[in-house]
Amino acid sequence: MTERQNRHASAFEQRIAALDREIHPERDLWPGIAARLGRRPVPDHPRRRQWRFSQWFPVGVALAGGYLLASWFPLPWMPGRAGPDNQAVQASPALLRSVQPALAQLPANTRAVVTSDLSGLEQDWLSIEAALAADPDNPLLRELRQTAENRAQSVREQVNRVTASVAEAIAI
Amino acid sequence: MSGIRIVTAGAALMALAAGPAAGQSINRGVDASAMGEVVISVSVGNLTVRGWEQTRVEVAGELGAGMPEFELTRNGEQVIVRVITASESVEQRDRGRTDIYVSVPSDSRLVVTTSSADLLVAGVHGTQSLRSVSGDIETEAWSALVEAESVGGDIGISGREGPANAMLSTVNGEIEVRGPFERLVASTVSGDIELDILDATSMQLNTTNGEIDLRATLRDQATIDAETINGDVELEIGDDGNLHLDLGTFSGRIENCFGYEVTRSPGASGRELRNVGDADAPRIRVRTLNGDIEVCSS
Repeated sequence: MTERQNRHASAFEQRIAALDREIHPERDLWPGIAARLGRRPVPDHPRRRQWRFSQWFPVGVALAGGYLLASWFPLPWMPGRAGPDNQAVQASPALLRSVQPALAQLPANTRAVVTSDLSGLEQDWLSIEAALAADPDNPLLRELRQTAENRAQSVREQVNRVTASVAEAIAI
Repeated sequence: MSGIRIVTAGAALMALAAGPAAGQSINRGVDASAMGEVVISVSVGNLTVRGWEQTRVEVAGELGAGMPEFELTRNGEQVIVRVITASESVEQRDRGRTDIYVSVPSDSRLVVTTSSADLLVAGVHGTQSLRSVSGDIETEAWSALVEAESVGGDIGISGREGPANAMLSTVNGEIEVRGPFERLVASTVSGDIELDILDATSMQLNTTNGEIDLRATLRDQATIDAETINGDVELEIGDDGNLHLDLGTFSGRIENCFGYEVTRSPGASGRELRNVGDADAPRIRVRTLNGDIEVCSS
């Protein structure tokens, strides 16, 4: 900032400081405004806008659906999606998608919790990637990313192995 | 195929094979090898397997609703037991009505597969391979290897005699282990791992969204490797504090009862306690993203 700008800024601050901070309107302006808005009665206490479940439910469903879709089919701009160092991460959606045939064989309640777990596993993975983006040389994060990668792989194998063996022995 | 084969799948077959009907009691047996293999498959309900001194496999209990299929077969050293409810919908099956008790020679090798049935095993000294989709697994380990795997069930195991080896894995469930174990692998995605172990040589513990709570005595040169993403790790190990510690957490804290000063990772986020203690002592490695780490001795 130049010296001339500094002088202007200082003068401006002085004028602001000199303003009277206790000035109120001479009369209550709200009744007149309300009359012009259609003569609606003025409430004694301003009413808060009520939260309507039915109004926001579709929005919530859409957001949750979008989140799940993003979880299972990550977009290219998501953290950790680019760069040669992230090939393992890029493979993770494929790993999780490959579990889908096994998940389809599970009882509904088990399928729901396992789907949630696998989605969470991937979210954790993305969290580590996001942290690594800010701190790329952190050895702990690199270890944890490797652990998460191995874990996703072993869980995929486990779900497929157990469902296959049970289907063969019992027919789930 | 030698032995007895009893299959019931509908009134005609039931009449033909003189097998049990739905909701009826069963009580059947077949001679078995003292150290043979027993393969058991049960879809729903409760399954209890116990080892006994007789060289015979006996199956008793109540069959549930639906059109149950029951099979008891001996083929050389192998005995097969199958109790399958042939209903198409697992959700419609009544888990409470099928209660199966299988007695096997105590030194048998045991292979059990269940869909939604809860499994309890006691007194089987041979190797155990136990799998379940959504049922809980609870067993005893003697000195042979125990492998237990589930997708949506809890796993509990008690060591009885000599140090055993166990590999335990579930996706959505807790793991609880007590007793002497030489080598132990325990992993879950969503669930706690709670351990009270004697004479351990090697432990690999991994949970994504759960806590690890371990009390243990260790042999010389033992190693413990514990990892979580979102869960605390609490270790109470040995009684003399002679340990080699390698601990790291990204956004949690580290506490220890040995007076070691926890440091921030050099040039990076996180806290760590890297390679402190006697290099020849049992080695403890812990990694977590969002959990706290606490290590003490009794």
